[in-house]
Amino acid sequence: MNISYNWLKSLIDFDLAPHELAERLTMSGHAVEEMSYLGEGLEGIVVGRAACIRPHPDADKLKLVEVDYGRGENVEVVCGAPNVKQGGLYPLALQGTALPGGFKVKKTKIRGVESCGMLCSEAELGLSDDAAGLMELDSGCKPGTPLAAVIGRDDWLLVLEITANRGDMWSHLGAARELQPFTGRKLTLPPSDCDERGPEIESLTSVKIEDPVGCPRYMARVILDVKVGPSPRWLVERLEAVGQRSINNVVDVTNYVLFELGQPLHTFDMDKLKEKRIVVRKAGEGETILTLDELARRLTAKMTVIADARKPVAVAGVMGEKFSEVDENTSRVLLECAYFDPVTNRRTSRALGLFSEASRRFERGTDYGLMPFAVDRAARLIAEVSSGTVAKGVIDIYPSPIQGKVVELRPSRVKRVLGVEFDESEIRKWLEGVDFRVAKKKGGVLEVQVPTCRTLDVSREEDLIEELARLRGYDRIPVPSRMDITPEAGGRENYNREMNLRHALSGMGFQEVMTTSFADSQFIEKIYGPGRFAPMKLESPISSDEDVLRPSLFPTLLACVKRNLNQRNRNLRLFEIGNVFTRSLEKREPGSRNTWESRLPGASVPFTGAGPPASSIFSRSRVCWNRFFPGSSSQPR
Amino acid sequence: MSAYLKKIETLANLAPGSISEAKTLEELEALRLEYLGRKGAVTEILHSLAQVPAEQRPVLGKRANELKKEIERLIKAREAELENEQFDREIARHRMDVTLPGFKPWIGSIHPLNQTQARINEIFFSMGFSLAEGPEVEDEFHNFEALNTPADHPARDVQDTFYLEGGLLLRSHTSPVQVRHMQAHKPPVRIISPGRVFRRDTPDASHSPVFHQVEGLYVDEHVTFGDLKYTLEQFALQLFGPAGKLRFRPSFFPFTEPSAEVDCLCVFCSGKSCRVCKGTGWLELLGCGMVNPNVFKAVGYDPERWTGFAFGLGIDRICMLVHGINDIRLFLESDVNFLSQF
Repeated sequence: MNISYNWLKSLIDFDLAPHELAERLTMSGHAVEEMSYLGEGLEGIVVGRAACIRPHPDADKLKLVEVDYGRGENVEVVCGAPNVKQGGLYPLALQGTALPGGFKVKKTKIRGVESCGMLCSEAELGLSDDAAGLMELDSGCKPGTPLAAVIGRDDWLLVLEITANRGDMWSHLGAARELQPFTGRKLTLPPSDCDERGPEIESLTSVKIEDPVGCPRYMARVILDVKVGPSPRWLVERLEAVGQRSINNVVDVTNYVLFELGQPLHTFDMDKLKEKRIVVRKAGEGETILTLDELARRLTAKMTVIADARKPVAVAGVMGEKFSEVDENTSRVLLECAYFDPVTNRRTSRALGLFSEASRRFERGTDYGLMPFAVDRAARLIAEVSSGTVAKGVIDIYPSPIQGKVVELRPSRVKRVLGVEFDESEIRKWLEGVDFRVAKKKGGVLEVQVPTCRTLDVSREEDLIEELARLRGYDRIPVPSRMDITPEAGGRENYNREMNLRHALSGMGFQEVMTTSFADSQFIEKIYGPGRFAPMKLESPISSDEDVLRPSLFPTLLACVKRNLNQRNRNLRLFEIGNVFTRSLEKREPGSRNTWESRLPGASVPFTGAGPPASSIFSRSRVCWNRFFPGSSSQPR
Repeated sequence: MSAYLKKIETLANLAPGSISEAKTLEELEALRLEYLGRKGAVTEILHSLAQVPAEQRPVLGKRANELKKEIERLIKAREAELENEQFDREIARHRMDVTLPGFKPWIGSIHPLNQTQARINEIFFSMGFSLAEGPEVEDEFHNFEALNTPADHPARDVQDTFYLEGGLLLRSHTSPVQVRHMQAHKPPVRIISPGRVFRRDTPDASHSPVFHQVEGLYVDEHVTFGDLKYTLEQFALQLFGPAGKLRFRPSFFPFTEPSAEVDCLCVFCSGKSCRVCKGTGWLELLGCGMVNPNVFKAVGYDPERWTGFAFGLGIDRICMLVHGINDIRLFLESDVNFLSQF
């Protein structure tokens, strides 16, 4: 999960520098895998205002620009860009600055006139491929301000590794909630109230849920008279800060809310929906849909789809359909905000091999309690950035509301598992800090109400104990000064025997090797002839020459000899102790059998060389078998 | 002075010189015969004592016997000297040059992974753990279901686990050994289970579809998270020495709760930050946690009565850390030039 430091800070006030934030998150269970400063490479680049433009005395296409960069005195630079205008604001690289491409700005004479800096294009700053002219900055920017701050790059990106149980952490809101108990403050939700100036939503559309298992709750809003186009700068910058590309203002809002609140949303061009209505149903077996990635997908009756009156317009919670997507001609937008069943969602996206930011969140469980807020927030933003009008009212189909969870917590059990006491005030501090509600019952037992964002994750006492340990910090769980030990007897006979063999064989000049447990069935047939073994087959091997489990150590040892001879390693004496697998022996029961083999390859060692070491080993390992028979097998055993 | 006495004194004067001049044992033997042989000079003197007047006999007899004894002593002493000299000459003649490069018998070595495993085992044996083993080919119950990993859990994705024909699979961790052990034994239980495990990872410098783990399990009536920290901290001190510092951070595994990911102070930069630890000063070492009550239920233990901890660490990874090896694939490539360094 990509987290922007500034974005997070807009939701909760905290006094942690970026690396302290990373440490805080890591130590409460959300490991920061990577972090980077987004203004990397833009140091030394400031906002410059073209105060005065004169022609270059010796070149028609060049101009002399006097640039005000907020220091009182201006610098003169030579500039060849076609779009430079008096009073315009552009990025200025002063002499000594290294541009992201590695170019270092120096004081140089261009056609006889000294240039003391450089006005830059987006391409020169590594921001985009646009090299047509100077990067134009908004009129509000003050000359001298670092460029990074003006374009939203004075920010840090933190890449969090989210554990499989924490679906709620796939958003900035989730990360902000985690910081609450440490800051002692509550997070601030962004504004969501909509100016509903449009007609009643019921007069425009309707929603019907025919598959309440796959879709327990579906909410919708309609935004009218939208003008689809590029997003405002702040929206583009926010999305870019978390690695998302801007598409258009309407789609960008849905992505923005997804990263902000963790609620995936979808927008339909309402006028492209047959009968302008939504039906949530199971797909028909073999029904097809052209998804937004422009691939035709064949659906099964186990998958949930969003359909109009006739055909599917989205694979529920996975991906929308191409024909109903919002484009530059769209004027009426139907905004979907739903809760889809995590298991159905997961199976669907696995079956289709289709994974999206939305499916990633739905399969881990989204916050069905947050939906009314999320749908309002998104409608408000769409109206704001696309000059649209929000229709009056919201559709909320929720046939059987999901029951909130209440879990009992015994402080005595906390002590038994963690080895340390937590008093009630500390329990409240941590649990209420992350939005659980704690009530006291008789006998010191606490009754804990789980927030809707954690329903899938927290259902038992152990889950709460984990919360307590995690939030207090594992480093603050005390370590006993000693532990009583009652040694367990036995169990080591095999291991001891194997180690003795290893010592004996290596002492006799054999090198131990370990080879893979996989073998090539064709090679086995080649050396043993067909039918000698019935090796166990892998269902989907990584490569065709590793398609079975080795029925003997011999084939892999032989391969190992070959590899060493190719490396010009001579005089090989190798042995391996390892498991072999045969179907005939195991009768399809789970199992593997330990065996050892040694090899004396190469013409330099006469065959009789194998006898004495083997005899010694047999007597050493107390195997009462010490006669050798001439055998027909190619494999001495 | 009688002629008899004169003979004695002449001999007494001559003998010591001639004996000390004897150069070899043969010469000495010739002298011995000359003086003490049956016809030797001293023997003759003693024989002729009878012709001496009776009143002088006691004195002269005594003197003659003294002479005999003296010559015998000198010969014996010289004999010892000569023998020593001869021994020294012999030794000098047969001196061995112990620095000569002799025949050098080749000694093989135990595979580095098995050396590492043995080291890990010994540390846990010393803390009272015993050893349990189990099959590498497993079924879904032991590898997943009993470990609180239901059918729709991400860990069960086909791309992670090797399935075999007939619904069996290659164990993706050695935890099924713990399940089998608990099914067969009543608590308290204190075991480690080392062994080979399999995951469908594309091989690269840090991933191998075949690798090795040691897992540990301790179940008793009063086992706590503090005990888990104690056990692993002691383990790290034994394995890495005083630099073996650990950091426990919260994580998630289906079969433990609370779960922890454990990092060790980076062995390459001692925590100062380097490329290997990506500047964090810590390296991921192992996963662990308190046994999830659902696991106890699956094996028929009463989760209200028993608590326990479990941990799992990669032998390959620890071997790489201890020896500074940068590619996991070297272990199974079996190049003797690589293996014989350990």
